[in-house]
Amino acid sequence: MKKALGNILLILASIVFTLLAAEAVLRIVPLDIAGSAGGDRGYFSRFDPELGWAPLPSVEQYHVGDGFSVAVRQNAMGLRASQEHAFEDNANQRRILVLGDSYVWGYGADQEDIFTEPSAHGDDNVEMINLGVSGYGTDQELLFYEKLGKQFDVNEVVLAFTTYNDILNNMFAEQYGYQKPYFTDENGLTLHDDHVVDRPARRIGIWFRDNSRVVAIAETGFLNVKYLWLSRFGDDEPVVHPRDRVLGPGALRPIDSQGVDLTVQLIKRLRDEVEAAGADFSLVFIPYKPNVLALQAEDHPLVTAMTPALSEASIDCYDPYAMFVEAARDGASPFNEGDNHFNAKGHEIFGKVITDRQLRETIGVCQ
Amino acid sequence: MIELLSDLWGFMRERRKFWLAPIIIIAVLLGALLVFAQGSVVAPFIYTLF
Repeated sequence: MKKALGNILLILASIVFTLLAAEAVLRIVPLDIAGSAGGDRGYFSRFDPELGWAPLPSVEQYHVGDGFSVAVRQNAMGLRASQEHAFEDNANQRRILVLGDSYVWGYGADQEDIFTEPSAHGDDNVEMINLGVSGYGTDQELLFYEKLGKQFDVNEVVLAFTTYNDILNNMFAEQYGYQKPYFTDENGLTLHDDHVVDRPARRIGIWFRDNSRVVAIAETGFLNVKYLWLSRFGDDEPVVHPRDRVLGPGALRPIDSQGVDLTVQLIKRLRDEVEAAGADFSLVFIPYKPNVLALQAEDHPLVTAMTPALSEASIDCYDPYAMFVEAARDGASPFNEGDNHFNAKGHEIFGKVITDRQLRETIGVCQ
Repeated sequence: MIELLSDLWGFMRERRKFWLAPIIIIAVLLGALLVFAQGSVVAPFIYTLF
């Protein structure tokens, strides 16, 4: 009995030793995949019972990802900014608050290149307040505005809308392995957030997922094996992640269409709250990378699917898609190579759209 | 390949060194996953969700 117990302990010790040794090796060897260990939410956000996750205050770090290593600074409020922002408008500048996800947060972009930074937009008369948080859908953006954004005295609030995943984000109680609040729309919007709890076991699991290179490789490797298996033996169309497909007009998945009504309701509520606070509201679509790089005539088909309802609700919405296509046509891709987010060029274009009202009026897509 | 595995198993059984098994299994499994993880089509999916 003692011997058997000893053998089991020896085998367990052997497993732990091997995993620790593998972790050590993977931290020394410069493998691409090892570099991607550490999701931005793991490093730059924390659990929040109202929002699912919220940005960590006072962060100065490098974010190492798929093909990039960039400086990240989050101010005392947790906002990705090289400066602190007062709630009051002390400098008498035109103040624009921007809501959005990782595109606004600036995934893969150096701090100084993000469109909300003075160094990037270059307009001394404008102060932009970046409320972008990686992984947020419109629901969390609305709640983040209610919790923090509406305390800012601003002239304008811009919602940067990511077509290929914001609608999907709004439909689920969990995204990317993290629980999140969500709304349902039955005779009005109802918030559901009782399920958002910080369980220690879950926290430990997420910590390992975000910090261990062995776990990152295991997760990525298993997913790839699964995708390869489905590609070969699955009975559906070839497996390509939806975000990597060039999508022509009308090429919508049923699941995306299902969330359009709910999403428009969320945007309407946000617009109403912004206007009640005395600011202007507008929505700017994030151009869809695969279509831009393929020089397609139209942006993601959800733009077309959403604009009638947005127009009906009298929401100002804009799409800088043609400007991005023009940059791509000129050989200056506005996107990161390894993911779909903006590079410095993309931030430059998007910043112009946000700061220059006249320019924005030329790219309106809602009537 | 089968011969190599058979030899390894014989060695472990003969010398009663079964603690070597997890080291070998984990090393092989991680090596295989590493091959699949590099040049990943889904790595951006995991981390950019956002």
